[in-house]
Amino acid sequence: MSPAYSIIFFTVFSGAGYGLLAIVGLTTLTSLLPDSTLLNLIMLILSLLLISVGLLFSTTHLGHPERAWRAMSQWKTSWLSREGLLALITYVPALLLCVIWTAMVIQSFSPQSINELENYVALIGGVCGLCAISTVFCTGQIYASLKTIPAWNYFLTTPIFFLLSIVSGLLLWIFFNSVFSYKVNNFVVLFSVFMLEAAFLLKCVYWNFVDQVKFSVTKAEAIGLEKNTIVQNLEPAHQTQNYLMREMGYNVARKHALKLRWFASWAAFIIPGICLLVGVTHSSYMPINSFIASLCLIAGLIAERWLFFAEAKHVITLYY
Amino acid sequence: MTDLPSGTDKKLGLLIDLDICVGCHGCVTSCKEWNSTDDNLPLSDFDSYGEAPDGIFLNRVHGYETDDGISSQTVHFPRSCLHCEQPECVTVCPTGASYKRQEDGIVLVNPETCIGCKLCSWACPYGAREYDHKQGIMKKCTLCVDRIYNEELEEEDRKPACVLACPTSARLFGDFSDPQSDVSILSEKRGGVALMDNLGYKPVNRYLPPRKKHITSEQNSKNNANLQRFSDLKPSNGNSKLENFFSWLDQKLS
Repeated sequence: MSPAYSIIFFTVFSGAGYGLLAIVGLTTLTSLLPDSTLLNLIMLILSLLLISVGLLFSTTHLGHPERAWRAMSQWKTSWLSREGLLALITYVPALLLCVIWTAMVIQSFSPQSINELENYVALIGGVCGLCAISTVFCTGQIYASLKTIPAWNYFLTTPIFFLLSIVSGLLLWIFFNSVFSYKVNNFVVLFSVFMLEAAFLLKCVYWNFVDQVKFSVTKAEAIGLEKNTIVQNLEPAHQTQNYLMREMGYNVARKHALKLRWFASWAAFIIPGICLLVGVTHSSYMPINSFIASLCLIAGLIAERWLFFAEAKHVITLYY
Repeated sequence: MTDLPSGTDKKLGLLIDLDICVGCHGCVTSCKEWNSTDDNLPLSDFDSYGEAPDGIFLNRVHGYETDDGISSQTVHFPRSCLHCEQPECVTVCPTGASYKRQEDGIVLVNPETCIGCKLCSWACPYGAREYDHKQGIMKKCTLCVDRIYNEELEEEDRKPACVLACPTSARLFGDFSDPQSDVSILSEKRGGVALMDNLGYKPVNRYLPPRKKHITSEQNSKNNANLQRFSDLKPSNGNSKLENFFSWLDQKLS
């Protein structure tokens, strides 16, 4: 499949945004919520920025972006529609939380009403976290549900999308907490490293699967002949490349794919893991280490996402 | 709505005979002509007279060669929308622009509501949908829905343009839900094939496989003798075992 930059940036940036939003939202239910409302507000705004930038990128992929609102309508059958709808719904609790925290930061409420509001914060935050998580789940399902692309139609596709989004969120969360001089609970850091390496493990299993996956049909069956008939191309249907070949016939050389896998492994999974572990033992390095970890992760994920598209073969390539 | 109808009243579709298709591309050009004129939005062309001309077609004809040796055959394979009973191109559509008609089972795209997200073309295993980037929407075979019910045309002309154009009558149009229709009877008799059936899209269109060549034992032995003569003529490459090993290694590593 052709690796379209609009979709790569959308899934990486919005994925990180939804991950951060999910962490910020869900921590309101726990004792891990940072005491500083200002810090929470900043992380919330950053996650919304990441999400919005990603969504804007994704609309550049459309032939008619001005009709994008129509994509909310077919949630009964279409994972893309569900993703679009949930992306929109997520803004409601997120913006509500934004308003409440802003009000708390500029202290426009009496201390008594702030106490009352805090109950609502946990409720809205929880809903916000669930919406963010569900959106990422739908993103994964868009790809995982396509039977035409066996490399994506795999049980690990959605869990990997999901884990990578959460891990991006966790790393950004650790970075902001440490920059604002809040000591991040070591348990949270170790949990993040665990999630990161779990994602790495699943990605390795996925790459191994992609190397071996074959179509469940043969070229002969694609043109209506008996399964094992030898079929060779004789006359092309057209002399120059068409939409199908450009969009679905993208072919990446194995050599380049291996180099990129190597880069993605180090940048997205190994270096951030080491940075965080060093941060646990030397907490004064945590701000810079978590910053490097987050940057490396994003760079690595862009390579990982590029490969996700470039290495996936569509069944229509049997015709060419 | 992208909800599929629980069943369709008719199953209109094409029966394509791979045994007699000569690969003339007549169906391709007549399809393009009809679907680019009158009330239809044109099927856009790009760089028509340049280095790499490109354009949208709803029907393409591929040429293949099957088997090798004496049983080898040329197969011309026209490829267009099969108007599946389980069209995932419809269910993945986020806007409802793609839909399957309850009355005749035709799969269509509404050009007014398509947002051009291209997901339907990813979901189709047959490459039936092409994206028109001049108009920003997806294009596909309509089974000439504007011909087959068109009362301004003579009755014998109320067929898809590709069917009318075919000089060898390799394309037949009809209702597959009616066991007495020409297409159903012929498909039954000749073992009509639903392409890549195991993927589960339940295509309506059927392809009649090419008849096998009848090869006599005399032809066969003659052919084998010829093959033997050619293989005797093949020069040996004269390389040592070590050289062969290195060239094998080179191939594997590069």
